[in-house]
Amino acid sequence: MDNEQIAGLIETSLPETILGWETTHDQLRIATDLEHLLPLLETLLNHPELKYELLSDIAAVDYVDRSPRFDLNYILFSLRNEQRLIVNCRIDDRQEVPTATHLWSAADWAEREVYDLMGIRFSGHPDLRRILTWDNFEGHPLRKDFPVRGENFFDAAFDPDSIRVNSAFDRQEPAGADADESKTLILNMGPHHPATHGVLRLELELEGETIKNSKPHVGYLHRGIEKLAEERNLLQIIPLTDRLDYAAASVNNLGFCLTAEKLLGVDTPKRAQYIRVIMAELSRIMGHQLWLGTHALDIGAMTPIFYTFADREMAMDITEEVSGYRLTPSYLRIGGVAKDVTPTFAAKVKNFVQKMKTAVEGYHTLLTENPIWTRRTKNVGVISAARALNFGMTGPSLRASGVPYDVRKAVPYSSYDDFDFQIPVGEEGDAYDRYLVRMEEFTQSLKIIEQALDNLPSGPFKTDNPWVAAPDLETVRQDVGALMHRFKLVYPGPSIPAGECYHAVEGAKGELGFYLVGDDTSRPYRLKMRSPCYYLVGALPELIQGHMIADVITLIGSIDIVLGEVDR
Amino acid sequence: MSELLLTLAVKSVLVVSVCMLMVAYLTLAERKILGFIQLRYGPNRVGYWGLLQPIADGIKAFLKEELTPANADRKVFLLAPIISIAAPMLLLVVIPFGDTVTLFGREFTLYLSNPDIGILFVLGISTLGSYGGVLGGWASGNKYGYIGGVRSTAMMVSYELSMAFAVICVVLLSNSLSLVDIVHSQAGVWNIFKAPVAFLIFLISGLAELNRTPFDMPEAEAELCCGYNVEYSSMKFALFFFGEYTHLFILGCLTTTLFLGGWHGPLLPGIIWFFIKTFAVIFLCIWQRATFPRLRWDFVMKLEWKFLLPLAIVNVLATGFIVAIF
Amino acid sequence: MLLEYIPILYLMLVAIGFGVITVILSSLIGPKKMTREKAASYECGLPSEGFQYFQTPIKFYVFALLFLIFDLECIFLYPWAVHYNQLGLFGFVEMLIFICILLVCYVYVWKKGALEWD
Repeated sequence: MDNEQIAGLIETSLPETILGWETTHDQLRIATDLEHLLPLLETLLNHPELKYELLSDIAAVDYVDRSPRFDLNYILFSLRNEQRLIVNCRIDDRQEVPTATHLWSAADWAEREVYDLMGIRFSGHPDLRRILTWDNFEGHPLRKDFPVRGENFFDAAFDPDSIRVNSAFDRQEPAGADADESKTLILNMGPHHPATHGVLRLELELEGETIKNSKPHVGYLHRGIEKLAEERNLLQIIPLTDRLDYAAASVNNLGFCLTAEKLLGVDTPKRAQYIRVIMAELSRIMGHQLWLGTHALDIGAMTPIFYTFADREMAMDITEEVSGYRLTPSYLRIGGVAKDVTPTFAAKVKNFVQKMKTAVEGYHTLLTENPIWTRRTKNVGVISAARALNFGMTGPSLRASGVPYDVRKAVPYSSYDDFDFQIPVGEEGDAYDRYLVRMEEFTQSLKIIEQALDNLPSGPFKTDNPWVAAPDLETVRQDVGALMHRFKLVYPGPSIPAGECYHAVEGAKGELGFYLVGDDTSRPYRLKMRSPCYYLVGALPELIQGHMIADVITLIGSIDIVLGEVDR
Repeated sequence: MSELLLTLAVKSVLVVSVCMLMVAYLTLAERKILGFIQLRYGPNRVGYWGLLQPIADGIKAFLKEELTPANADRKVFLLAPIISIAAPMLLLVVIPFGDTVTLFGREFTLYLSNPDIGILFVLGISTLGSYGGVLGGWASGNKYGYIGGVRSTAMMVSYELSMAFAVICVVLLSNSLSLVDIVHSQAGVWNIFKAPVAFLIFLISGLAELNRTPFDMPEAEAELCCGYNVEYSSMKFALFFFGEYTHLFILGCLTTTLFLGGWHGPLLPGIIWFFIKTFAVIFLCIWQRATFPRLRWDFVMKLEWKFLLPLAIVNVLATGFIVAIF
Repeated sequence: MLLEYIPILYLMLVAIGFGVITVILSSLIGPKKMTREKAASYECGLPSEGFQYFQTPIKFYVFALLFLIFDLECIFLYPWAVHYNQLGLFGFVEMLIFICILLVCYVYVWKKGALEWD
């Protein structure tokens, strides 16, 4: 179904709930009001011909001078129609929004984030606490009237010891003699723990070694990238996106560049698209190598990490050769890539692909058939396809449950439809399937790289659209107009047209989306990042429920989270 | 009499110092072997080929600050590392490194003591060593340490059983509890060929008693951040570490004594054969550490109670049957 | 025969002495700058709340009891094993009965579900 048919269908099934709909940047946006929001969302989820089962994100925008002040954008995806929909709802400062947690479990964390950063309250939410900032933080940082540049906030009097992060469990501690009666133990796992992949903190309620209940705490690595992005131009934001999933940085660049290009209406030449695909797949392999090593290390196999890191070094060298950086390349630009690939690039990538093919077989011999490995991962953290979707899990973790949702296939971008590759899918949805799916993705990514390299078109490596492309230095030296043009693009940066758009790519961990709002200035009015890991962590309590401490480690590893992306 | 006592004292000190030196270099050997398996160098900065590394580690441990957590049980906290080093060190007394040698016209035995109940002594004292981990975890006043201590208790208790049953097979074959007699009885055929199942059970149980991968439940660094020794620092931590390696050394010695024919072997002197076999067993332990992931806690218990223990009991019967027939 | 136990006594002294002396020496040599943070018990960087000693699940006591039973049985087997040569087939049959009783108990315990860990 195309956008118009869907809009028509929604209008006929719920006649008075919609204020209007439009298709901007190939995307259907439906406007509704607070009163009709919940019935509309319910219909979108449950209507047999719509089935918007995946709540990608809730992007809130603060129009401080407008009344009603806030925009809430529910970004939904229907696997049935392979189509994305944005439900827009305007609300006032004092209004409470009915929660959508009973429709999508993903809404739990999405709404907590909106509450924390925007200060919008959700009525009926089971656990509306701050999530990225600490519990006694004052103010809501993404509101436009929140003081920036540290004024009045982090002044000299600020005492870091005053930061409080409370326990998520309401416990009435039995006093005195009853103290011995306590059957459960509350154990903090993380942030300072060798196996929580950075600074994730899990509060576990244990009975013996079995987990009765658990609450993840995130935000220890919150750097406010979304707020920082509001103070920077498009070029300056690219390095920020490197710091999301730093294990696979180029794919983050790709997501942001594509979003910006969509809003700016800039096309990329074919060669740039292919180079971007190679870089994105290289970074996906790098991300998976890091995952494999650490995941195996967590389960106690200490050798694989040294093998994966030795191979990862080759990919790092290639990244360094084209961009000058190893971990955070910032190689992509709006409309292309920073510079053309080096002459030795193709040979090096070919060599890498060849070596990786044997290396992946080596990884398989290390672990796949190992009886201890299979016992540790099989039937651990089983999640059904429906639950996984409901939690907003995406990427390999979702595909292991049997849902063939891959943004590269569902909504192809950057010439991904030119390449022949499969989406590996699991059956059981346990940790072992998640392992197998990622292992197969190595092979598929290598296949894509090979094809892209073989068919790498010649031509320009970046667009000549004057909106984003600066004239070259030779012209600038002779022509004062070109000089001004270049200055305009470099110093304030290209101007972002008024409008909003959402674009997602398949990151190493799942659907990595960017919601970009422009207001005709060179800085984004709002940039919301849809982090796949954030929702994976949100699903963690369900996964580890009833398992043992050792399985918690297995499962943290098996959903492959990078805290830089969770906390942003 | 007093001369004899003095000779024994000198011998004791000699055995302890030589063995402790070996244990110290065992840490280096493990790091080097792991490094080789894992495509890296291992320690290579302190001295030629990293040969002074164990000494540097020891000195460093001495120079570190000792911490005792505020809510620790101070006395037990102090006692635990001492137990965990003293027990395996004490076991050195019964290990028969070789037969007799003649030096300066006098005969010396290459073992300190040969009590009649050698094996029972070994089993008893090696269990005592596990108290170090149990008490250390319990006394730290730390949740991770406590869980590690509880795991350590349950594992010590469980794997003790299958080990004891495996050793019965050796006693059946040799008709003696004395380690020296057991080695003598293997002059022809080693016990590993007569009782291969018992050997495997013994080795697996031994690894579990040692808390080594894949059985390193009590200290599983990825789950419990080192478990029972999480609150230990400085030399107290080093004692735990040292105790563990001494125990590994003892396991190698015991396996050699009970199953691999002790000092028996062609051409080379007995004591050389003994150490070749011992270090082969130790190498096996290090090798599997690099290869296997860690088992999960409940699998470890299931493996013992539902597989190893019945197997060990039936194996005793089977060995008894075979010995009675032939 | 008592002579065999003298080295054990020596080594006991050496082993315990080694442990005690190293602990004392390191506490003399090492720096001592105690702070509140250092004395706090480690729980991943957060103040440890609640009770350190939770109620140990009853499972552990069951295993402790089972251990006692089996370990006692095991000790009975040692003297038998030492004199096995003299006992011959009679000894074997006797022990067969003994172990079979043990195995019956073991099967009973298994069927009762005492060996289930979850």
